[in-house]
Amino acid sequence: MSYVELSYWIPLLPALGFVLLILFGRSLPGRSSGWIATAVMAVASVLALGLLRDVVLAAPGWNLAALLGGNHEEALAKAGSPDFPFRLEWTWLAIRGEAGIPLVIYIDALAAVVTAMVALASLFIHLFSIGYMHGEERYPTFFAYLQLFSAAMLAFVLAGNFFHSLLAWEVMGLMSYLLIGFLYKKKTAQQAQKKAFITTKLADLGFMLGLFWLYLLIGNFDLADLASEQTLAMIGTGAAAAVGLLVFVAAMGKSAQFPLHVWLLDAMEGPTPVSAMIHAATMVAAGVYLTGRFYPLLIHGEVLWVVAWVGAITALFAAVLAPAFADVKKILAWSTVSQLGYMFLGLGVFGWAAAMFHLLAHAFFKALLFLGSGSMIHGAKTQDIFEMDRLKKYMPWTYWTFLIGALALMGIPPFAGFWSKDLILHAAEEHARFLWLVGLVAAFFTAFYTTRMIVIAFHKPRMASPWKAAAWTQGAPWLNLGPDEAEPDPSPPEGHHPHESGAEMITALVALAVLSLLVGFWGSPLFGYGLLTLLYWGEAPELLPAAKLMGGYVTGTLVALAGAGLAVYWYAADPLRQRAPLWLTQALQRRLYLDEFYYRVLGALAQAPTYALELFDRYVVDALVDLVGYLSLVASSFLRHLQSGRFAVYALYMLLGALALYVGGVR
Amino acid sequence: MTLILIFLPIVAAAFVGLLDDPRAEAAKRTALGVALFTLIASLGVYVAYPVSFGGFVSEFKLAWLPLVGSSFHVGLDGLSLPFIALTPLLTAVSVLASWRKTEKGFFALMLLLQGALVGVFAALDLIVFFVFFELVLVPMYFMIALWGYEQRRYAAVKFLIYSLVGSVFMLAAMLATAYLAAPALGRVSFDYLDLVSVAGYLALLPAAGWLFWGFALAFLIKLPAVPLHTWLPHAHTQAPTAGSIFLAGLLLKMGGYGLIRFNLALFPGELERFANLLAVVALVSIVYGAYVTLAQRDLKRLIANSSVNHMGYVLLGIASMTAVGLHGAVYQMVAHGVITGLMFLMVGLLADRTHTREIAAMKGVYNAAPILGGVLWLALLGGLGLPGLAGFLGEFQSLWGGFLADVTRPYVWVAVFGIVILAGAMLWTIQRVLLGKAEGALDDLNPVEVAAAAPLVFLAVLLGLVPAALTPWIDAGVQPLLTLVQEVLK
Repeated sequence: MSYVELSYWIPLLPALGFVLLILFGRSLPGRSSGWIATAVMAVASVLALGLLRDVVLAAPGWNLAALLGGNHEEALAKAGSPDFPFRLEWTWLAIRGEAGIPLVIYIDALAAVVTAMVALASLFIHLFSIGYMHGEERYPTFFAYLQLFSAAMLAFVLAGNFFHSLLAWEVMGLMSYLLIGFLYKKKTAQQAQKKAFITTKLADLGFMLGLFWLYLLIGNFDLADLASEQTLAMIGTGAAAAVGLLVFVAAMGKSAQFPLHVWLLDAMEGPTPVSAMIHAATMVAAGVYLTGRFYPLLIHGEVLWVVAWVGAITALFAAVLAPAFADVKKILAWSTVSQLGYMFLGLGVFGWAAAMFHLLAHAFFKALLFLGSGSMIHGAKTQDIFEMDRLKKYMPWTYWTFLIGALALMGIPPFAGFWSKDLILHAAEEHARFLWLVGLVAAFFTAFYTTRMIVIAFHKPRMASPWKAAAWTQGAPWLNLGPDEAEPDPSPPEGHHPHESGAEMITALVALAVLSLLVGFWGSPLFGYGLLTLLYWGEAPELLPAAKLMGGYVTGTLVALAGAGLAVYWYAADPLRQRAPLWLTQALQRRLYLDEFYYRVLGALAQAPTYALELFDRYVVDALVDLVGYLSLVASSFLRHLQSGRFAVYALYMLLGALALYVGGVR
Repeated sequence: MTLILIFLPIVAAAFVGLLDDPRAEAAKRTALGVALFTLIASLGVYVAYPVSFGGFVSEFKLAWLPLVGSSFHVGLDGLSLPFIALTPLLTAVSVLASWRKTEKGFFALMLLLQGALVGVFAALDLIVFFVFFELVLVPMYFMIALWGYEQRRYAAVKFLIYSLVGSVFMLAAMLATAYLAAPALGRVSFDYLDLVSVAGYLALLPAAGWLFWGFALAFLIKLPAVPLHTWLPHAHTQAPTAGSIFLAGLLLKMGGYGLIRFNLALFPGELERFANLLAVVALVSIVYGAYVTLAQRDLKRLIANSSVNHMGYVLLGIASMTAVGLHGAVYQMVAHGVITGLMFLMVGLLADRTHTREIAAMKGVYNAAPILGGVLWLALLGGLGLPGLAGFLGEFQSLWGGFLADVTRPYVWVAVFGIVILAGAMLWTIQRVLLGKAEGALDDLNPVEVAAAAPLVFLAVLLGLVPAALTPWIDAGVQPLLTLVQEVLK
């Protein structure tokens, strides 16, 4: 039995784990629910890696030298297995005369690689959570939710029918909602979960409408069918652009792209493993994955440039805002937004494989960074980097693993982000020179905020946080919290010394650090672009001899070093000094007022008809009904003389009805 | 079999009513037993139904009024079977939800309601349909008027009168249809199958529009569609829990079912002619219903108004006259029966404990009673059309079908925003009622109440993930209608 035939177990296992834990989790002793969930993910990871192995064996092989030389026709070294890409199909929703919705599992190289990534990242995040969530009130529920999320994400990646992509996509959104609000007694968490749900749901309308339109055009929702030449030939350019952009709106919502990024910062209300899993490694990358799947349509519709611009703007915007924050999770959240922007930029400049490479690399190093931040918070009892006391000294394992993630994020060789980000920038340089510059500037800021975070949190002694005192960070005015509901985040108790985290947490950190290094090397020219040739599907402008990339490598490294250098220069000496004018800092911390604009203007406009319609409903529509009833009572009291009996009203209407019929019949 | 499903509950209702049973112990057990027995029986028919052949099964025909051309004709097909099975299920749930009631009459009314509802869905003769359609009103009226909340009289009378107004038009239309169809049939017949066979003739009648609206008005009131919906919030809010479950789960379905069974099958030309108008009504119901839901302060009234939104999707699917849209309409009706039934069940159980339905007076219910809160949470998420639960497949198919037809497509673009508005209403409700720290203690669900909720939770998930449990039946019911429609329209 091959792993392909077993592939449906990959999402099914965590789904069953969810059912088990939600029904019986409360009666399980101690941490056993965490260990059960982790074991389930371990089995799913084995299956996912087995699947990846099957795919690597079945996929066509390419002659790298020919690819690098641009001889795409002669590059095929080994023909792929005839049944590759693999496809499993069952009847699901069948309507005679329509294609309906079959249940399809579609496994090509991309699906297999991302499945393996999701399963592994999820496994180590589960492992980390065993220790991190210890002592939480709803410990089994937390793992149940994580399981269902993993199931949905895996199902999303393996789905071969866009309807099921949508279904899994929405279930992910639900789990994101439930996990952001996991601390359900906290008002900020409640507001954040609602904001996330509504923002993404609004964006998801684009997904639904896009699918409806797609079906109207080609008569099915099939993922593989969309990539075929015959299918694309049936679609006009305008329709392709419209459908592609509708779906892209949903991707922007899910992947927190400007201007729909507003929910992701608030989503940091969720426990840190949730941020690592959902809001860094997997769910937010689903938008990139989906856009990658609609890629042929976007090219056909000639709207890829929209994707590039949105990505580039987001990459820069988020990287500029990040240095104004002191909460380690919020800095990382901006970083995620920014890195997702890079992925869209990559897609937008024809760097499909580069974007997917960055997706994979980012998943591991950002999960690592988030879990590292969780370890920091766990040890230091605060989320504020200023209040963290020389963590390098107290938490060496956390420090060194965090550093590996940070170097990957900054794009320092030979860490993962260096290889993937540089390929994206290279593609941008070829196709959109201005966006390449934007990407470089964003890379500068990335290195800057990352280094600032490391210097202040790991190297500096504890100090009074400058941001905490500032009134505008207390609560969030756009969340409409009362003064008593906006609790400031707790500070560590006086004299608290940070401590290193437990074995499960350290193991997870080390594993993710190793994985992020491995993925980086797998896609790098040092090892023959292994990952990229696996993903290759006909065009690969990103594949170039290392010599040709050398200019980009040097530029990228220098920009990153410059950003890091500035941060060291500023913050090593005097971390508390105000570097930017107050109004600027304030504007950045209030996220350039965009959230407030949405809340106060768009939100208010959308809700405006509510009470007017309610009053209309009660005092016009319903009152008219009562009036008619009253009038007929009056009439019946008159007619009662003709038709004695209690059903006079009834009789009246009968009469009227017969009359109406008579009129109709005669005519 | 159909006769058993209709008359066993009615006979049992009479039996329960005659019991000497001051505490209603025997009554509730009898009611539960009958509901469960008929549930198993109906599930048997459901499973045994030959979905690939379609047609009517368990048909029974007895000449009862030969003089006027009416016979007692009942039968089941793919369109009616989902409702035939849903009726005893929701009866059983309602009986369990009313386990603390001590009046035998209440349980007798439920059984009567069950029998009458099955009669409505099984009827294949216009007069039989009308009789059961009216019979449903009687127990429902008494349930609201005698066991309801503070404004029960007003709500019950409003419900009754409003329904009767619709019924009168329907009856007139039925009489006229039968007599006008007589030349084609050679005799006066109220038999549904006879009338369907001359749908082509009916389409040519100059009065076809009048006939169409006679039926449609009754069904749009029942559905309910804006602006004929205002009886619903009163009735739902004032009705006891069991009454709300029946209302939402089954009574509203008579409207959508009737529109497909009669308006679509007998007057497809008129449906096509007025599709644009119906689509507007559907769109208004979806968006307006969602907004009015958002404004509510009473939890039961809120859920009642969300039904207006949900039923808008049914009307949209029907107006599209596509296979996908009709699938969506029926799927949405079944899903709504399960999910809104569950919402009313949980809200009823909650209101019994808090002695208020005022949203502002509740807080932290999930904290105080995790199982009650958790199931209500699930139900409210189901109500906002959450993927993975039944409602999403109904809404999705209705909108999808709506998008496939030229006449309804423009409205789909706007209707989807109703999803977000309703999501806002539901999430806000969840936040206010369920989340936060509990202020007082609440009893969590007891085993009887868990037993009442469990089948609905199971069905909500099953129908959200395994449409094969419902879609083949709908297909068997809808496809012959579509073939007929295409013939008539040619």
